[in-house]
Amino acid sequence: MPKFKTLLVLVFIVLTASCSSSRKEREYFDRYHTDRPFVDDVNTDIALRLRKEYPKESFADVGSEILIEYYLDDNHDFHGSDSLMTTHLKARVTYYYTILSLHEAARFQFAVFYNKHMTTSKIMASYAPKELGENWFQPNTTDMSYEVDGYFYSDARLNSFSAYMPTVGTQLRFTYSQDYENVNYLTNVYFSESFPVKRRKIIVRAPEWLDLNTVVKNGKWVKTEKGMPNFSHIADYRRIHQRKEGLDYNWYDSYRGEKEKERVYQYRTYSLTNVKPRDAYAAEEGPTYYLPHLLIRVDKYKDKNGEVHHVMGNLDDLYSWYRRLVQSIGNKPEAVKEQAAKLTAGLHSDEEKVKAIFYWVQDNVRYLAFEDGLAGFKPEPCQMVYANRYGDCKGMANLLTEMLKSQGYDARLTWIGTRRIAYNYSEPSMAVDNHMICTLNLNGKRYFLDATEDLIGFGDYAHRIQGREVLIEDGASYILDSVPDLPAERNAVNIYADMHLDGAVLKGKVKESHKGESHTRIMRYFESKKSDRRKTALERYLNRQGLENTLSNIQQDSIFYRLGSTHFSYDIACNDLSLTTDSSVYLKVNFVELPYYSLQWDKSRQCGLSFSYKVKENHEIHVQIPDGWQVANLPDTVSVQSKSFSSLLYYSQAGIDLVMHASFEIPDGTVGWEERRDWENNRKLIHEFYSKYVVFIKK
Amino acid sequence: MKKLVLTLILLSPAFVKAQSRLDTLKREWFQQAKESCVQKIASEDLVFKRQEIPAEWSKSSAIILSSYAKYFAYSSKEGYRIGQYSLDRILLRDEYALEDFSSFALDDESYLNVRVIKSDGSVIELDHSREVYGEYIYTNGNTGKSWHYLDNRKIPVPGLEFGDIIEIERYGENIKFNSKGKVIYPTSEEGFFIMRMHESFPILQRTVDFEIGSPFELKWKAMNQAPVLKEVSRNENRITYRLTDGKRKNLKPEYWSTKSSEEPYVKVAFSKAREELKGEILSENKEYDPSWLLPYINEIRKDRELSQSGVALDFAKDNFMGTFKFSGSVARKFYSYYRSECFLNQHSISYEMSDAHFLAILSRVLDKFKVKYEWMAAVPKELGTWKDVVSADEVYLGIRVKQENEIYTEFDPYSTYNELDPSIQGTNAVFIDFQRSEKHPGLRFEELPESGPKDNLLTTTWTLSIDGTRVNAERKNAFTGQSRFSPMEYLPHTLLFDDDYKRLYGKNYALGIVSSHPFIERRDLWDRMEEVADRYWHDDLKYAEKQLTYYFRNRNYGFEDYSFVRLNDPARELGSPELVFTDKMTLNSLLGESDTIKIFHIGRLLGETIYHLDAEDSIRQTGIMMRTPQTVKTVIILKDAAKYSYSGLRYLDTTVENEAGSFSVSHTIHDEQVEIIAIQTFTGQRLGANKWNDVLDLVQCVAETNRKKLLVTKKAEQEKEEIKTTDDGQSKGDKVEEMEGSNDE
Repeated sequence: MPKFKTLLVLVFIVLTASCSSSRKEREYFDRYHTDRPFVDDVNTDIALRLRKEYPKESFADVGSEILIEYYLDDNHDFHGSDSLMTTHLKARVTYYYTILSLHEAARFQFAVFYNKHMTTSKIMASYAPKELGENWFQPNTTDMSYEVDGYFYSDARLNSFSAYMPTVGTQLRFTYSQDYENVNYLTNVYFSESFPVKRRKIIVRAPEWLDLNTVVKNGKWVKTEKGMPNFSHIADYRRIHQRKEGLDYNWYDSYRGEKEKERVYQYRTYSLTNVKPRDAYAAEEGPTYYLPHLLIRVDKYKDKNGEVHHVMGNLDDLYSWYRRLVQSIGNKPEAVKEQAAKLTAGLHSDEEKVKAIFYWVQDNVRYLAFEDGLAGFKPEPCQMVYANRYGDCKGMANLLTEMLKSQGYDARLTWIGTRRIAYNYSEPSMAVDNHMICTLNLNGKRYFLDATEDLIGFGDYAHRIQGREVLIEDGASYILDSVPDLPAERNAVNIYADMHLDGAVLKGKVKESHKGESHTRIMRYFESKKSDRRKTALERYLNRQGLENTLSNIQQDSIFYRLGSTHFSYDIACNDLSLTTDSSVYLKVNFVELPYYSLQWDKSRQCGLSFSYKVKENHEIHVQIPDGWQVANLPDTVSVQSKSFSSLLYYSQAGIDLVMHASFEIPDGTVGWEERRDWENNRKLIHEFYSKYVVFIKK
Repeated sequence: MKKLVLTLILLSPAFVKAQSRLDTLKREWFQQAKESCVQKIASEDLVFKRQEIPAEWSKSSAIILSSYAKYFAYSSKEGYRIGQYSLDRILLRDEYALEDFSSFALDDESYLNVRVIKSDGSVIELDHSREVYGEYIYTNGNTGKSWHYLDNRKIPVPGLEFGDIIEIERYGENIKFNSKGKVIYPTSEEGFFIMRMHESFPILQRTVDFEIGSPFELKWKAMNQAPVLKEVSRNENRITYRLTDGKRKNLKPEYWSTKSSEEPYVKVAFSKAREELKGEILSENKEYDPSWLLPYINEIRKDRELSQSGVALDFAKDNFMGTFKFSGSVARKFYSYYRSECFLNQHSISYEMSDAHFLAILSRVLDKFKVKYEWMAAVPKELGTWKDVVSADEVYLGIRVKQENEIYTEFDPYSTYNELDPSIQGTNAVFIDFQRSEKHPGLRFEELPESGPKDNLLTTTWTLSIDGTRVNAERKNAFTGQSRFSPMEYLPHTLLFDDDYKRLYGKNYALGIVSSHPFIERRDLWDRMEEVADRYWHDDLKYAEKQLTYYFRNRNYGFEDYSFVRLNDPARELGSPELVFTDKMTLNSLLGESDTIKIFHIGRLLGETIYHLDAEDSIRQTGIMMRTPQTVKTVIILKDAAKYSYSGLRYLDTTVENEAGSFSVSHTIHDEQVEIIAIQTFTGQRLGANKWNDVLDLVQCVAETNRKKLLVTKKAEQEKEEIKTTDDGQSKGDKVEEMEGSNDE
């Protein structure tokens, strides 16, 4: 009986405690949800100062911390089907932001990106400054799939929330963490955001049994410190989450114990102040070229038994991981052999046969990214891509490889990072690659075949892969090579015109030839139009100045010919380029202008220019000098020679013709940020040149 | 384990189970519908009949060889069955078509099946396991409760090649599962839709059946010479009507087309008979009896769900307690309150933001405050007149407050009170007074006021100064009436709507705002909530500037260094339907120069060129629908008149006036500056094909003006004093007159 009484008392205590706990929980929720955004004079002053610095920004981060930690997960079974994507070693990144509103009535929005190989904790936020207590609350969130440029990725997601910031100086703190199931996927952490960051610290905590490699990229002003940092914010975060979520934080050391354990952890703190906001720019370089960030990879670690595990210490490790992925594809080459044989039947040379297969995949397999998300590095089996007639880059590369192999050719799967990525394989990381192609060894020569590049010829390479390192499969080993870098001449555009004045109208015949990527770009443009709208589309494409010009008698040839160039000829009548007075004729001949030069280098731009291909364009416009008139005045010659681009525009006289020559070349397709002044100068000079009139006076 | 739990939470709520049961049921019903339809199609040779493809379609990307659809609405022992089945066969002929049909979006409401028929007769079936989808998870931070929705469902079509015929079957029926997994059939469903005869590809043969049974009845109207429906079969339970059409080419896509009023289409509605409610027609115009509107509006008034959200009570409470600083009519105050609540905060009503909701609550507020008002119903012009109405869904609703004689229509974030949508302006509206008698309200016809071009005035004032071959420009954009809606979409919304809060709460408005994302509890309002979220996302000056840069981009002049300068305060005031903002830029393509003169393409700033019209539409298949009947006024102030002489000014002056509108340019010369004014007017929103030549005359005149230039010469120091205005407005000492004659050659 006493035992029963004791039990009853215990039950009563437990029930009371749980009721009181749930009541407290409710009160807690009630409190934070009726909280008003807090504004004090100090924050308002800071915000007003920041507003002067960033007049068009609505928010600024006035102090953020990011903590990167590693731990071993002993609870997972690493022999399951998904074991490739799950590693014993895990990483956790914890983010902590302090945002100030720089304008009235602003709504702060923030999105957390993740994929199915990561776990994101709840986001917790607070309007209250630390001194006034916690008042943390969980904002309403919207979690959705992430779609890029119409391509749909099933496992890339973003979780977003918004918070109203009614007055200048409203402060919002928020925090969350992300766990990486496969440590290889944690490749880099950035210092910048879409809003300015006044101060940011990235703290890396590496256990002594872990060999970690961290490199600061584009971080000239990043300060690096070793030793135990002050990360009270993160301690705050842990307290919140242990209380709110009941998550398993047992593997964490308590904050109080951190100091004692300092000797078993290595701390590195990377700090940067006054980080400009990210923005989108025209002809933008990839973010890895210019945004300050930390590139991270784990070389190796020792487990509890002292066994050493290699992770991403060198290129062998990276290849070994890729190889495990492709070994499990499950190709059935016999399913594609018949088609390959059909395509090559009756053809004699190897090159003809390879072309037949390569072009068939280009023409008949559509690039559709119904793939397993951004995190997926495993190609789809060749038989699936063949049957579906669609696939992503990996699937198309795999199909092409298997079709070529089925006809006895030495074709290999090949990993590559396009020009958008600044890294090469000297940094063995998954961040180096974003694309897959097929390498063919034929008659002692190596060809790189990219089946996603519609209408590209055999032996020709798209700008985005030119000069890039490739990792070619070679059984247990691999081959490191580079795609040839082709000259700008490959994309040459030449425009020749023979013009004369007919009253006030400048009339004549124009011939255009487009090679290489300029040529394929036009062809793809046509393919994207309905057949019955292509004629109008062509006219619009050629009529660069719009309404004031009339085009007629448009002829075209070799429009769908690979490796060739596209040629157009047409008659043009320009209504708005001349003006005649009793004593003078004023004439401009810029019915066609050089490409790209007019792109304005915005003052806020943080990166260089990166065009979709190397540019080389020449114009030669002949104008017959009207009878009885002579040239009185010509625009000054423009000649600009910068490190990575050049332009030359001038007039000359050849018999009865006045000739305008204009040429522009960007030999590498990129212009460095340090050339911004040259670029703007070039833009202004060419603009002036085109704005100036040629003046004829009576003889 | 953690991952497993998370996956379970994400993917296996009851929702997913219900979803799969629903899919299974739909698949079964799809089979039933399909079998009966396919039998009919085969027995009546509706689809498979081969027809010659007209030679004029030889360049079409794709051709719809045949299209069969069946719509049904009847009562069964389970409940109402309302849905449709369709079967289309399309021949694919180019890359565009392959791309267009390479994947399909799926939705919860319909079941889709696709087959690819190869030229050798073999068939590739759609692999449903290839479907991908996004999952939308909305979590209420307060309760921790989450809602999961499948979003963006897509399926790729395998094996597509030129010359393939793609066969698309769709089946949809409005059924749902409740939380217990039981099928819910529609209860008081009504259906209204518009069936256009022209598709984006030419169509050879089309058959549409409507199978209707008690308690539903079919109402339809063939518009613009569309084919009529014919009864083809009848038994004691159901009647089948059929529409047959064919050999329709795809119409050229035309800008600002008056499609709906000129192209053939059929309006169709299924509806159940409503409870009788008699009204007394007070108007002399008795040509049409709109009594059927009474029960419809009465349903909205009495809808507890719509009107009892507590908003009316909250408003009344706050008003009586004197919380609001804004004094004005109850209706205006409520409008401001509702708009601020919807756009700036308040989880309690944002999710409910809808037209009917606004009117229902407004009527409750007006009842509570004993304000006299009446309901209004009007038919948008593009849907015809009262005689063409087949469904209540076509009707535009509103409330007129009698004392102020102000009409509040369906809730529109950009308009303000007493602003009628152009589509109902000038139409014969019905006003219903329930306050007269609940059981026998009075009805009267009354013509709604129509705004003219003067009410929708867009004034752009350019202040220009020459800088080498560039022109520095400061621009003031003033929009009144309907003309302000487009630019409003590009401006930061908090700038626009925050004012409602300020007006209501005075200085303490910030404290009236609780930060919380509006949350939703009703799935069908999800889209609306997304719209609101999108607006918040855009509350950013940087974003506004980018959008405005895009908005003002045109082919007449290039600009750089664009910056949005300021938005005027009155733009945000209720009762002042005016939007004014200023911006700055450098115009970089208007000025050419030689060593002695500059040639200023000033004409390119005058008048709104309708590029699309003169570029492509010399022959037009349909009339034109302007955004609004509007006046576009451009004022150019040349600041450098003291430094430069401008010749060619008088050749800018022009006037043309006709039934479609007018265009005029005039100039004046003041002491230190030249002012040029262009006024362009389109008399109506719709200008039919009969006014097409007049439209072209106006367009031509604007285009000619766009080509006009000024010769600009730098004045010698001593000449600066010479520019004076004479009585006739002409410049003295214009030594460049000799050049004017050649200016417009």
